[in-house]
Amino acid sequence: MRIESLLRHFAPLAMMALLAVAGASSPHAFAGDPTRPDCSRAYTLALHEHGLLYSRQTGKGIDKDIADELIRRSGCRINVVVLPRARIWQLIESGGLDFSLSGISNPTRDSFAGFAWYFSNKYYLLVRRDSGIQRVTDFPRNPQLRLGAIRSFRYNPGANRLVDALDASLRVSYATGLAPLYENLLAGQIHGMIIEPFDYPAVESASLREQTTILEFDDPPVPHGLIMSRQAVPAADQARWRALIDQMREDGTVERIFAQYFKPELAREMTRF
Amino acid sequence: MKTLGQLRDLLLPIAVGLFTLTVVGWLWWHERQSLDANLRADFDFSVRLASTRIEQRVANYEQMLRAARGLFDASDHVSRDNFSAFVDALTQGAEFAGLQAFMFTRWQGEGKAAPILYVSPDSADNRPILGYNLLDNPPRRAAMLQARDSGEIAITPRVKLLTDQPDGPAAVAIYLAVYDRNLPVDGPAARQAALRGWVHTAFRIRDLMASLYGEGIPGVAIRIHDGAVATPDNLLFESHPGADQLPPPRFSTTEYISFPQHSWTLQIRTTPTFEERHSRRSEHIIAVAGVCGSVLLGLFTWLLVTGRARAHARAQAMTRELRESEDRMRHMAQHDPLTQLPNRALFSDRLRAALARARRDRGSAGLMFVDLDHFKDVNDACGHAVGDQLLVAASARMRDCLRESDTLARIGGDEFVVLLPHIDDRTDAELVAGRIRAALAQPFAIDGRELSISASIGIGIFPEHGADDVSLMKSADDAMYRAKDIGRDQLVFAG
Repeated sequence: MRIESLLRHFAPLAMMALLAVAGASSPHAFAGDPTRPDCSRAYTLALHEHGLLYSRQTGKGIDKDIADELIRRSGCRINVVVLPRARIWQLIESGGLDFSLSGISNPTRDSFAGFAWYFSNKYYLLVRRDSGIQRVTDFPRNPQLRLGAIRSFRYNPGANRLVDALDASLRVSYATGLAPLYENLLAGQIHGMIIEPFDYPAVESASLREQTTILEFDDPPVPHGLIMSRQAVPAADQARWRALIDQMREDGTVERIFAQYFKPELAREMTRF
Repeated sequence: MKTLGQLRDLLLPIAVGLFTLTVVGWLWWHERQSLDANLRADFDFSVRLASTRIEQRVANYEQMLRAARGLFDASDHVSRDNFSAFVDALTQGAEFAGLQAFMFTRWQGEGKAAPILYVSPDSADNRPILGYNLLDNPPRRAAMLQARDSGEIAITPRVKLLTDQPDGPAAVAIYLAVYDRNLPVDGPAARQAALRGWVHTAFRIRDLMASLYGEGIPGVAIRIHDGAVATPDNLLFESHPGADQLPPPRFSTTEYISFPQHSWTLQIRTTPTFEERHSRRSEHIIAVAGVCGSVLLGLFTWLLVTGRARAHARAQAMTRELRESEDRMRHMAQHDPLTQLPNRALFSDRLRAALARARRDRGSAGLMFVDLDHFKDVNDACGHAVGDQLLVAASARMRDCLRESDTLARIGGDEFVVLLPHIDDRTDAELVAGRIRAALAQPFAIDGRELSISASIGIGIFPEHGADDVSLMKSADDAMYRAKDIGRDQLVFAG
């Protein structure tokens, strides 16, 4: 009798607890949970074409995989679009875009965007062998040499200094994608460009490997992450998305994604920082 | 010392002038840098504007094609009217300006033609291209197959519009594949199997640029080349034909716009009108006003620094002039204007002083009255001018016969007096008088004439011929008259 009474009293609570446990595997069930992103509206996430990060041609890339994982884990409806990087930063600043990926911060960007880091990498200067460049510091000294860069890209402090100094003397040719820069590097129209590990497959093509060499900047690796527009995503929501990214790093998901594109050692180095 | 002082006085004004010039120079440089920075920012803005606008416009075209693909994805059968109505609704916005035509081409299978099935607007210009097999056109075929395999847009290299003549303006076509909505499209092979056709559009580059910029960006010349490496052969558009003939640009740069598997190269440079938009007047005003101000400030400082010294120098000059004027006046008051010899007043002073000294020293002094004989005859015969010259010459000879301490004075027309303040006795006076007579006896050559004169001399000795100046003068004067009375050219002592 006593047991029956207990069951009668606690059965609803037990059912609620069971439902809660079961519901944990379904993201939609936790739309109101303060530890989960708010999925009450659709979001827009922009990818940009950049080596292994994303290729429109194949429709694949690290950022695409990260985006897919974010969509899966959050349960939110996220429209993925492909835009030039410069346009992405403009839209993030204005609030016309919610998210993008593989972004690095600087004081200006910090004013309009929040970040959730999931990897870090170093920057390298890819130069033509016939340019006579032995060290990064040799590049600005020769006024005949031109650098190619993606408009709006920022790098580590050393690379930023190099780009800014050359830009001041109109020695930078900007592009919205890497392909024309590689082509012009081979044609001798530009003499160097800044690359990241995502660009290794292109750099390892026979023609580029023959004609170019890679120089390293002295700076430490720079963290990259999910870019969140401050205009579009409130601070509390940013914290939830950041927690989601941290979870992806902690459970090894990010490293596994990177390992599909890089050697395991490099994937580990890039994602454990 | 004076030079050192002058240098010191110049140092501060020069330092002030240089300091002001430095400040002006810095201001001028700052203004110039600011203008240059504005020019550069303006140029950068123009460059970004150009590339962004072109990119955005092509992105708009892409969105339109994707919307049209959505039309085909939504229905197994899209009629010509459906297509036209859809395109009409789409192309209302200004962002689609420049599009020549919007088309659907059906894929009929490998090895078969791919004719243009629908074209919108269905105008008389566009209608002839219906049925045209695009796969016969190599650049278009390549883009169509690329679009088919990628599922993304594909842009052709430079082509001519099908409605244009073979030598028509440069154009490009954009293709987007349309697939069977019931088949998967997750890879190139699947896409090839699901291909239903293409929605595509084409536009002249000049129409695109005109729709973006109208008459163009003032002061900026744009060239668009098809491909990542610019060559004359792949020129798509040139806003300023012949820009190479212009003077070297202030700024120029190259920018690349990437499309899937394709790039455009933008060569952007300034023309001479670019700088004219930014007035450099303030820079010139600073330079001119600053230099003038610096010079004036230096001058003002010099006036301040040297004011006391200059006032002192002026006072000294005025004092000197005053003293000289006083000396001149005193000389005039005490000397004969013709011979410059002391006059009667000065002579009287010296006589009294000499007599006082002789009285104190118990010494002697001599006083001579010298009268030139027949001088009036010279004046009458030769004129006063010659007479005056004779008086000057005679006084000079008499002066030469005297010691420095003796005084020769002219007290009348041809009357002279001589004071000998230091004599021992009358012999000294007689000796001097003899020398005077001898000197005057020599002929004078005046104005081309030879004139001969003599002198009657009366001598008084102090104290024996007079105890004071008045009595001594009278004694000597009387003696001189006696010399004249006894036949002139004589020497007579008083007493």
